[in-house]
Formats: sequence, structure tokens, C-alpha cells
Amino acid sequence: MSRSSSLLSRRGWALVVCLPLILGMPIPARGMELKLHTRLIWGTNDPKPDDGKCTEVDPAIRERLARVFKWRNYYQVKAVEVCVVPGKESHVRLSEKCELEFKLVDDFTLEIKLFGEGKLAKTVRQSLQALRQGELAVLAGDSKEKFGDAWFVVISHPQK
Amino acid sequence: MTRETQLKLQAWLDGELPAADAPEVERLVERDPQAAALVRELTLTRRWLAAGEVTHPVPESREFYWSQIARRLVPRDHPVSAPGRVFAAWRRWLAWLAPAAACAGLLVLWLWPRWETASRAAARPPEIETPTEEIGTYTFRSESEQMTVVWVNSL
Amino acid sequence: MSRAPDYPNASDPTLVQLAQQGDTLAFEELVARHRDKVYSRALSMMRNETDALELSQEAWIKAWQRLGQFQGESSFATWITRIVINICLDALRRQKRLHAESIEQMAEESGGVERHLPPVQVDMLAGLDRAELRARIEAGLRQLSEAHRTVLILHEFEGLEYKECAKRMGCSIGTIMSRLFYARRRLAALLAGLKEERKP
Repeated sequence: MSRSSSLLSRRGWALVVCLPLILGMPIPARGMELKLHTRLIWGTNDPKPDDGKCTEVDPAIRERLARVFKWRNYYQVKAVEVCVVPGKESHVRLSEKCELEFKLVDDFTLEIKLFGEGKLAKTVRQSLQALRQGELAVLAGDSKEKFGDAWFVVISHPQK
Repeated sequence: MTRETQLKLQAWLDGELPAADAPEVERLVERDPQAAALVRELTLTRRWLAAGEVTHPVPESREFYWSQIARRLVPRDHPVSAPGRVFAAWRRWLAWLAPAAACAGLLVLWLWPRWETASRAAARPPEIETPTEEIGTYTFRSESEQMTVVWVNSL
Repeated sequence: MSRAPDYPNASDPTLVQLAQQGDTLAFEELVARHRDKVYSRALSMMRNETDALELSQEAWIKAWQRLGQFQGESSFATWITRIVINICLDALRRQKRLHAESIEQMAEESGGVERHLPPVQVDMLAGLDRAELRARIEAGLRQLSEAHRTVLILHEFEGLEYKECAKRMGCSIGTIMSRLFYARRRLAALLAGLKEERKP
């Protein structure tokens, strides 16, 4: 590279260093950690089983599910809070068969991988902004154990 | 003839019937005129479809069609060798472009939280992307319940 | 100095190899050779020129990204066609055109009017040449529902087995068998001129 262009380059990089000072703020750290609620929910028309494994679902979530799906009852099998940090995958095991992996693809996108019995079943990408605004990301399917029932993995951002 | 029998006849013609079931279907076709008629129709349809499809030419010139693809291709690790002078010119520009890009990046980082707050009302719609190779699912969204659902068929 | 490859006369495997090394000119030649086939497949599935153009180009971009994974188990033409099919299926799914509702879905899987029609026994299209026959088939396919047309394309034109069709369309093998059966019956009736289908 010639001397003049090298000088130009040095000036350019000097501007990069000075810009945050000019803007009067430090460079914000790229990406922030993201807290998520994950819930494994059972949808059924049967009454709640007495085995003590299921608990009541947050009424707000239950009502939203009930307005979309046909099942009358929704019971929470497990709920886990997870903190996703940029550049690292976070894993959540919701049952023996069901595991989730979260990854922040960029500042706007959350990648969710659903594993069933250890095998990747589905990858979905969800807008972070939508989640922050109350969107529910739901992965669901028919129950293999009981005909007519369904399972739901509900992912949401804790609302203030 | 039941629907199950009809589907068996079809599977037999498509070569998808288990070998153990084939003799039973063959006997049925021999003795049942309805089954034989259905087999004739299915065979006829298969023969017609074997003619193939009409090929439609792309309604754009080769150059224009390619140009729309080419501008979206990400170069590989081993690009086609570029002439040296182009590379030299690129290096000259790089002296300015790299710092300029960094400045632009910093500006975006600085402005982003402000934009985000301002644009909450006009938020970008939620997106769910599903890789094409992982199918066997339906995706739908309930606007009223703010809920995106991916229904997995086999898990 | 090495000579520039003779792209127009190179075989597909040679062009693929060059493209895998980042040669965009080789890739351009592949696009030129197979673009009509890819576009036609997208058009037959989407029934819309704009969608077909966009999705066929998307298929080429995806092919470029995944070219490293292409090992030559099938021909390049088959490989790129499968890519465009998957992209179209995804688009149909997004548009919910595959996820038929209520009565329409019932008709797709349990048969509509054609259940009551006698099977076609005479080859009404026997005298037609190949081009005419293809034109009739296209007209017939256009009158089928998305799900019926798609299953016929996958099974009859792409040669996919029931299981593979089911995987790609996201439904059970039983559903594929039903859809295929009634799609064939409806098409037979249409081609034989037994039933005037209303225009979509």
C-alpha cells in the first residue's frame, strides 16, 4: 500500500476510535443476554391427572392457547427459565424426550432448535423484537402417548 | 369396494404394496370387474402422465435472469482469480472503506436503541423461518393472540 | 498459463466441480442450462409467474450455498429440481395453500364428485402427439387443488415414493395415498372430458 493511502487509512481508523467520544457515549456491548420462559404444556380434554406431575398453567398463557386450540384443559408439565447469552448455545431439557437449544443468531433473531429423543426435529427462527413485545413462540404436536392429546412448548419473554 | 381396497390397488400398481399382499390383490382384479375397471383407469392416467410436462421458458433473458441471481451470491473461499489491477484498486479503496464501514457500524450501534424505542408501535412482524429440509410441520400464526405455532407432525 | 474452461461444452459434473471451487462462470452455465426446467417446476407448483421466477432464483442461490454438499449421487438437474420443490413447498405452506381446510380437505382425502363417476376405460387421448398430450395434462393439473397437484408432481414427475412424498408434504403416508388416488381419479375424469371442472 502506498504511503499516502496508509496515512489516509490511519486517519480513518483514528476517526473510528474517536467516534464514540464524539457521540458522547461508550460503545455499547454487542447484544444483550436474553431471559426466556420455556414451558412444556399438555393439552387435553380430560381432567387433570392425579399423579402430581402437572401444575396449573399461567392463566394468561392458558387463555391464549385455549382461544387458538380445541383442547379445553392445559396443564404445565415443566417450566424452566433460561438466560441466553450472545455467542453461546443454551440448552433446556423439558422432559426425557424433549430438549431445546437457543442461540442468538444476531441482535434481532433467536434460533430455537427442538430435539426429540436426542434428534433435531425442528429449527425455527424467531424475531426477538416480537418476543419482547409479548409474542409466544409455540412448538407443538400430537401426543404419541395418548390419542387426541397434544404437547406444547411455549417460549416467551418475561413481561415487565 | 372399500376405500382401503382402492388404495391397495393403487399401491399395487405403484409397486408400493408389500409382496405378501400382492396375490390377494391380483386375485381381486381377476374376479371383480369393478376392481379391474379401476385398475384400467389408474393405468391409463399413469400412461398419460408419463408423457411428462410442458417446459416453460423463463420469461427473462439469460443475462437478466442471471444478473438477479449473481448479485445475491456470496463469494466462496476460492473465488475466480481477479486481475491484479482490480485487486490493487480494491486495496486502495480499502484504506478508506474499512474505517468508513466501522464508523457506519458504530453509528448504527449508537442509534439503534433510540430507533427501537421509537419504532415499537410499528414493530417488525414476528418471523419464523423454517429450513426447507426439515419439513413435516405446519406453521401458522394467530394475529389476535400474538402467537406463532409450529406444529410438528412426528415427534 | 492455464486455458479458460470451455464452459458451453463442459459436462454438468465438470461445471459443478468448477462451481464448487468458486467459479461463478461455471455456475452461470449451469443456470443457463437448467433454468427453464427449474422455472417450469416452480410454475407448475405455484401457478404464478412472479412467484415461480422469484422462487426459482432462490433455488439457484440456495444451490450455490450448498454446492459443497452435492456429491453427485443424483444428476445435477435432479438435485436442483429437488431444491426448488422444497422451496415451493415451503412457500405453499407459508401461504397455507397446502393446508387445506374443512370441506376442501375432506374432498382431497376422501374424494369428491369423482367418487361417483365410473372409471375411465377408453384412452380418449390416444391420437394426440406428445406436445398436445402434455398441454392437456397441464390444463388438467391446473384445475386440481394445490394438494392434489403437488402430490401428482412429486409422485409422477419426480418419481418420489409415498414415504418421500409424505415427508416433503408434511403428512402421513395414508394421506398421500388418498390424495394421490383422488388426484388421479379427478385428473382422469378431466382429461377424458367426463367432468367440467369449474375454473379456479
